[in-house]
Amino acid sequence: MVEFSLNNEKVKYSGDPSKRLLDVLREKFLLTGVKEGCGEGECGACSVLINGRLTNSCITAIGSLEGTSVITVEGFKNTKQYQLLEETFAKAGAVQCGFCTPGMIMAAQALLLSNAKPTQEDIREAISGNICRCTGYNMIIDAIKMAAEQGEGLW
Amino acid sequence: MVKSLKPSTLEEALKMKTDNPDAIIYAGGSDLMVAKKVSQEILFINQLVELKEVCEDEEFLIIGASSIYFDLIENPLIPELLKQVLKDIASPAIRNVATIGGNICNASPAGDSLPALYLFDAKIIATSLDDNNQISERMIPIENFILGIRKIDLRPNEIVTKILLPKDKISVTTKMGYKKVGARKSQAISKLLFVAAMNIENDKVTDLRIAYGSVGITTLRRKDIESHYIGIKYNELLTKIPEIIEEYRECLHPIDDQRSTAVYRKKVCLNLLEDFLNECK
Repeated sequence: MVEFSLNNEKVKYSGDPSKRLLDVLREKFLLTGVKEGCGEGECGACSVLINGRLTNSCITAIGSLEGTSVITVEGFKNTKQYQLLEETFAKAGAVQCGFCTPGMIMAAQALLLSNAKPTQEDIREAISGNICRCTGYNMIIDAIKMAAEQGEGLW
Repeated sequence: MVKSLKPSTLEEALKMKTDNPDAIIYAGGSDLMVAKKVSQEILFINQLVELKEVCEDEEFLIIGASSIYFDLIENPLIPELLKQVLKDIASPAIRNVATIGGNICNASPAGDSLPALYLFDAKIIATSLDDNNQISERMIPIENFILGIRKIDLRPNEIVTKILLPKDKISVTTKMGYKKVGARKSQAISKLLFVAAMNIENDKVTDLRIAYGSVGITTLRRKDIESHYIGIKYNELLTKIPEIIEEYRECLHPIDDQRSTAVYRKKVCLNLLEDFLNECK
């Protein structure tokens, strides 16, 4: 049995402790914002925040999460920070197929939480574990920069 | 179903490992979950704060084996060279979970922290409970702990708890060199990795250490070659560079694989060494 907080609600899981957090989120909790790309921590499509830190849910065993706080893009959605990122991602054209977007948003949030005024290099570094095969990254970097500039006091 | 072992203290973890010698140890999970190793029991040590401490005594910098890369990069006690190496591993999300003990115990030929740990003459502390249930520690030099590809000198009842770096090997006055060569900046498994250290006092070379990763089964460090050049004048060492290069040319045996070629690896290894030796003025 593992007890942890998922999107700010206490949850319990009593299945196989070696199961990937990714699968538990999608199959048990029906949170399909987390995507499986590579399944080995290379692409970032499954990114979530665990205790505020960006983490790949595909290489996290559910049994390791006792007492932690897990936030997925669904849990992040009802915040002003998310709303601004959604707006700037749309404005900058940072979304094409959208498969990487939930992970990119979580990577952006992890960055802005620790560094509200990132340089372009900081942004590139922050999303360096998130692969996007559509945009060529520049629009995503613009979107995060825009959010940082417009988000005075949000982070 | 796999059984979950969740100790709340190190002592409890050691007891569990004694009772379940086949249990897989889960620290960060970033290698383990990719390798998809199976066992009947998983011993989760990721939340043991005792294994995340970094402190120092007279002789050693002591790094808890479950210390996470991110925390080590932020820690002022960690030598700059090791920080640089850790910053270049994988991606932010991996650096948020991966542990230094995990990188050692995974014993990959391409484990990026290993050459730096060989350079610092790191000692591995393997801990177990003895017959009287007392905590017992075994100190093993890293070059003896890593036996081969994914082979380590760790007994079934032991857990790696600490990594010790002798303080005289991490002195700030020593010039350090480091270069990772990979296909890209992030998420790259090294084609080769070079680290080196040299100390010069009154124009005399008082310390020289060189290590290579990803060009052999384990990290290559040749203390016998290094020792030939300790004690000579730096200007004399400069004249001996061709000889040093020749010695390393003979002992480096990289392979061709999906990431690079043997020829490229060897050439770059020797060029990096030559540059380092020349730049220690």
